[in-house]
Amino acid sequence: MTQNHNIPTAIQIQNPINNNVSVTISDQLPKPSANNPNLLSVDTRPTHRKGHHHKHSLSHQYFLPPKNRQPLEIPASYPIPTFKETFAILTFPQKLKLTSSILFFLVAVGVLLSGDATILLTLSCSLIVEGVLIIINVWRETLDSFLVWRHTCLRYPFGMQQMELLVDFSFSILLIFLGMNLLKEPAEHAIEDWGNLHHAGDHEEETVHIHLTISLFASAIISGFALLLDHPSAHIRELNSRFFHGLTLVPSLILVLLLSLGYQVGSFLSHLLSLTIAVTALVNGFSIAKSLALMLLLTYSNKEKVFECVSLIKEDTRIDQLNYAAIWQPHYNTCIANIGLTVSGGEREQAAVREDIIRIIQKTVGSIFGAGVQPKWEISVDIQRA
Amino acid sequence: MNVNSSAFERTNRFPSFPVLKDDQKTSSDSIAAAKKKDLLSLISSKSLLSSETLGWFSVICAFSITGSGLEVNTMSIPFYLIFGIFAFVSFTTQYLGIYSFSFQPFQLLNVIIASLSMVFITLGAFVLGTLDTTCLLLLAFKLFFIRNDPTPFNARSANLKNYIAFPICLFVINHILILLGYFQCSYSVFYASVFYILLGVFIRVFYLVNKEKFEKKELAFLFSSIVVACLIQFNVLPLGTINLSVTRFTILCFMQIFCINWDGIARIQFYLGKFDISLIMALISAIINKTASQNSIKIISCLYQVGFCFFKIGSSITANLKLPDNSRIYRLYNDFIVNGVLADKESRSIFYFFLLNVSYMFVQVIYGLWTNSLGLISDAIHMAFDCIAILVGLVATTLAKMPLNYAYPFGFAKIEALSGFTNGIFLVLISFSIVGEALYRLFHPPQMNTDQLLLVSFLGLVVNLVGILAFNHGHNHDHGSHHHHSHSNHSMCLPNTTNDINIFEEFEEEKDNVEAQKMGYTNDDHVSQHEHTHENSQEHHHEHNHNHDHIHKYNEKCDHESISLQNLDNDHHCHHHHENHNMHGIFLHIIADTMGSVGVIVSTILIQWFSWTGFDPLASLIIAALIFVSVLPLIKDSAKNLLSVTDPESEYLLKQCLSNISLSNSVISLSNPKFWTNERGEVYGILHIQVSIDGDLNVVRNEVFRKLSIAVPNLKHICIQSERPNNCWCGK
Repeated sequence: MTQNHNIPTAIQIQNPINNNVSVTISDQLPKPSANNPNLLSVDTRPTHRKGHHHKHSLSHQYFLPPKNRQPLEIPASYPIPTFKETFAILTFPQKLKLTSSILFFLVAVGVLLSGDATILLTLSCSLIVEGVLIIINVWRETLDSFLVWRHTCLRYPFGMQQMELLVDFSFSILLIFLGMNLLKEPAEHAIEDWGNLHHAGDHEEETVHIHLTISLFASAIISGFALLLDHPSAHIRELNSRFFHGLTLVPSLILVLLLSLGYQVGSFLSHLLSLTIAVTALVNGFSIAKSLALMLLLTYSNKEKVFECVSLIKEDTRIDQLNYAAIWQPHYNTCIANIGLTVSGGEREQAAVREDIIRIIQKTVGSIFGAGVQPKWEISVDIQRA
Repeated sequence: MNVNSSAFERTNRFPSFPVLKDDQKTSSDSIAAAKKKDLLSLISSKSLLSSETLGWFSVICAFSITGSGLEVNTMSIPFYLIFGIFAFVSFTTQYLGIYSFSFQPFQLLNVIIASLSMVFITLGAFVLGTLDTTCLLLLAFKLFFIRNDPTPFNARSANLKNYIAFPICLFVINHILILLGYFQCSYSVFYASVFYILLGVFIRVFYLVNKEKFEKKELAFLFSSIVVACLIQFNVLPLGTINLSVTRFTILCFMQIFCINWDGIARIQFYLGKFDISLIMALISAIINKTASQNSIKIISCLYQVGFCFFKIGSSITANLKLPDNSRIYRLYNDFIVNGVLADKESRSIFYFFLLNVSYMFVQVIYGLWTNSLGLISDAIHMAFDCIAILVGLVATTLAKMPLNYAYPFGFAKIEALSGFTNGIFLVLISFSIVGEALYRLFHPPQMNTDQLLLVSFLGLVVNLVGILAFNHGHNHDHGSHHHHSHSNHSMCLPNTTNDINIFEEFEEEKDNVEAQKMGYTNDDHVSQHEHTHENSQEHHHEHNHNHDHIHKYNEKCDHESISLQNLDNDHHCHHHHENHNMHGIFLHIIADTMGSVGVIVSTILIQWFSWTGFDPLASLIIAALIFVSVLPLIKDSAKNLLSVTDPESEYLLKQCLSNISLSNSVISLSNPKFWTNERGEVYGILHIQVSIDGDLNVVRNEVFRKLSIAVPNLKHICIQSERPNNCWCGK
């Protein structure tokens, strides 16, 4: 907390130094203002002036009008990084990761071309998902080091960080799209079988057996490495990239095992595996898309808690009227609660009401996330006198 | 389907039945109580899922499957088995109270009556068609109540004529057809089936009217019907064993669940003029249905009959929906479909297009199964994806109108941008997958059978063109007046960063103009305003295929932009840009589909001419590129809309005002200023002010609020927390 000790202050915007660490609300409960020793700077403190009773003493004017107050300096906008700048600050591991994503795509194509089974299509799709996820994560990490990403400015009140939501939302749509495509294939086959269509009965002999084994092995290896090397960012609970690496690794390992034992790829088990992957992708995509869409609509993810919170606030008898209440989450790291009240009491009571409201919010909506990195709560209480 | 038929107004020519009314009076209180308690009963009585509607629909569906060619494997089902199945189903549903007329108590007699009447109606309907059966049901019902009426032939003779004339016409037609040998059916079976239907209705009606006091007459009637059933069982009467197909019987059984206690018959209305064209068509379709040898013609006539029965005869079912006190479901239905989709001209036309799409999809599936063609089925699946996209858009349209509450503090306004963004990303992914598929096909050319491809893609093209037409109407109408302002706003304020977006907007606007002129909507004033700048481009577009317009306009726009920017007047007022991204997304989806079918048609023709199969992937590649290019502006625009940012003009005003406030008395500092603009250009904000000890918190707060609302005219809402310094999380 920075405290300006000279009264003619140049008003600056808050400069969050440790933004990564969330600030728990309990640390910041406002102390009663009467007991606050740092309230004003030392020169104008009335207690220091005790005993001065001369009529023309300048010190009678406790609150001097500031002489040369500087107008507000709010950064309108931080520079938006160009593509070149972003690329320039990539570290070596990040560059390695980006290269590996290309490898993922290549392996995906290889897996797709190595045979004619549904599971191969599924595996190549999930490899593509992994590659995209790696690119997204590198992009996220890189942009995080730019000022415009996290810092508030007038142009971007919540930072450019909201872009992250959009990209993750697109990723979830990719998941849904791939899942639907993967479900389309067996559905077509099922209809084909059901309608007794002339089924292409020629079973292609697995002449490309070695090719198939190699490509499956490659996919297993690279997703395994990605699983080992990956450090998913903690605040994004839904988008756990390790989960997606495992989604490729496990089926491809099973398939490699089956191949080495001499089973065919187009068996019942592989159909089951591909169906599982498709359904998992769909379900995951839907859940991610839902939670992100709620964030993008400027709402809070848990409706019931919000209603509970509002009803708790309404119960307070000191509050004459609840003018408005907006509890929402602009992006992963921040939650915002704006409460507008009409209170008839004096300043002391207003402060108490504010304190209570902060406690209520902390108790109801603030506690949803439990352990882990929590979003920072920015609570503003707008109190009007009746 | 229901929604469409609600357009038909309920003309209450239906005779009032004193008996029914008494019945309602006595039990109205208990019924109301049951309604409020039981959500299930609400579902079954007042929603789309009501047993009535489902019953109607299922009966009609089941009948219309007769002779549609789906039945390959038939099995002969004896009478007792049918009766047993229906008895079982009616027992279960009535016992559990699902999909039954659930205000009635569970009685064994009720089960028997329901199953008997359903068996009779099924047997009769097996021989006759949809239309004949429905009309017979109607006739039987009317005759029964006219019998109760003291002056039957005076008051409602005009209606009675219709009630009687149409079934008699059908009867005569059937006779003639049997005589001529077209209708493969003996007289005895024909009369028996007519008799069965009448009997089934009469059992039901007796039961409906006097269920509390069973007189001897009714019991005798019931007994006689049981005797008839026994006679059928022992093959004294015809139709003891019917050859039902397995598919049809399954569907029948499944659907009987819904209409086992179906009392929708009480509300049948029939209002037709004698020379109504649909009436004549219905008669013709009845003839066709009996005489046609080809299955496809039979299906078409059956479909017409289904539509006729549903909309003309049974339309009162939907008209009877009334808003009860606390019916959540009905409210939902009302909100979403009536107020949400149908209220707006644009979304209404899209909704109709959606219905068209869905029905086309079903036709494709049925036809594809019938002709064993995989191409048709996969096209139908593709259609299903489109339908999902359109549905998402429609849901977004309705959600956007929802009121805001504490859980949605800023309403659902952004959901349209979100839906547009989703559609845009989907289209990008689709274009990528098209590219992948095309590359694959370029190197592994598959053998194609082009016989059906042309027809299918042509039909798809027609459907999508209808969609575009339906769209343009609303599109123009909606966007007419907004573009002008939005333009000046963007271009004046931040020329360097939003120029690319301006290009797209201009492109959009121009597209609207061009299409407006094509369609003949020239009443928008801004069309004439811009005319001189875009004249050559318009001429250009007229020569081109509609689908190629996009890319050309886009390229040309770069040249046009400077002119159009100069052309704009100095309207600085903050009319923010409010383009409907949702509609834009759906529109692009339809356009993409249209391009797809055009590509298939062109490539098929080219392949037949040049016999080089590479045309197909080539066309796919071009289409994918076109989709990609046309979707990019949508994604950019909607993404910009989804982010909470301040628009440049408000930003400038805010900066001025905030520095002004920070200089005012008793304000030590400002912190946590967060301001953002929503899609309508309204500014929302949060601000913390640190007030020195000489200032009153509320006075300073009101002062700051006043200053801000004067300085920023678009300020919709601001949360100002006035506090003593060093008291808050904001660090000051």
